Amino acid sequence: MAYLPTGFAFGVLATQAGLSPAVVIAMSVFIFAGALQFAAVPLLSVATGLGTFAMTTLLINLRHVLYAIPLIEHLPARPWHRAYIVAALTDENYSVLTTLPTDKRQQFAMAVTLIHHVYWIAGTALGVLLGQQVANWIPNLDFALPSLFTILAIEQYLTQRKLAPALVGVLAYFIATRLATDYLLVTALGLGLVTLLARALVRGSALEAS
Amino acid sequence: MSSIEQWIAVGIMSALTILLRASPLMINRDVLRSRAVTQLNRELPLCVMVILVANALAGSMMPSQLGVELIALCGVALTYLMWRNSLLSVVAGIGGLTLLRSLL
Repeated sequence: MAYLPTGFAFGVLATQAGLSPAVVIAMSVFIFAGALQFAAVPLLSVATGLGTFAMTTLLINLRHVLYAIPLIEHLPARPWHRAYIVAALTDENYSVLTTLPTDKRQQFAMAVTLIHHVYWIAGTALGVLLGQQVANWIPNLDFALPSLFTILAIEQYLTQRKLAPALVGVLAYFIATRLATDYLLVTALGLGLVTLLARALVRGSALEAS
Repeated sequence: MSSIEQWIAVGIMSALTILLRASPLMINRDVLRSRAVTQLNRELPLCVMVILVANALAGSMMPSQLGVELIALCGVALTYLMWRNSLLSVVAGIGGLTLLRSLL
């Protein structure tokens, strides 16, 4: 059910940023990735190079490369069911499907994925329909975006309880503001990725050597 | 961006997201399970979210406005840690910012 209010918030924010209702709803149908969709709203509303969208997608959704691994053996037999479940494997779908007992995953994977997706699209459509009225009633509505990213950052922190990646993010953004203005976000994301990759490789080598 | 460019951008984001999600079906699973990739996957999301927060606040060029927004974000963080309700925390953040701007 969390998809409904979050999808609603996305629909309202994207509409307020000037995106057309068709583009906003298409994003929820074809991308179905909350953090990326919220991050793309300001990028789509100004002149942004297409390379920035590719880089932002790769960096925000890189975590998804691991999600299908524990599910591969338990996906439904029908090819289009398997394809849809993997294509729509969000954070929440992954959490719910890996919580199910392995003998139930094949039976319920399609229904769980479809219900979550319908909630997300319905929430977005409601946000698009009521966006203008909501914006008239509520001042500073655009502040929902940094608020949502802060909540997602807290959720990520709580899973690992390590502050180093957050500090890398702050430093990467600060350095990017000194290096670039036209490609600020993509420069900051690239710096963060390179730093964390170097850290992961050094740590991996150290663990293998010990 | 023009409407056509927006649709192309949506297509790029959709295709790459699906490609990432389907990658275990195409890439050697030993590579995906390596220590470096596992650690990167654990740490990258927090780093990305912090950068996105900073980028979302970057519109506030005046230090006083940035300070007010940071205080409101502290309110978001505190209410979320207390109640774990994202909708409530977003409402608290917007309400807090509106109140602070009307007072200052």
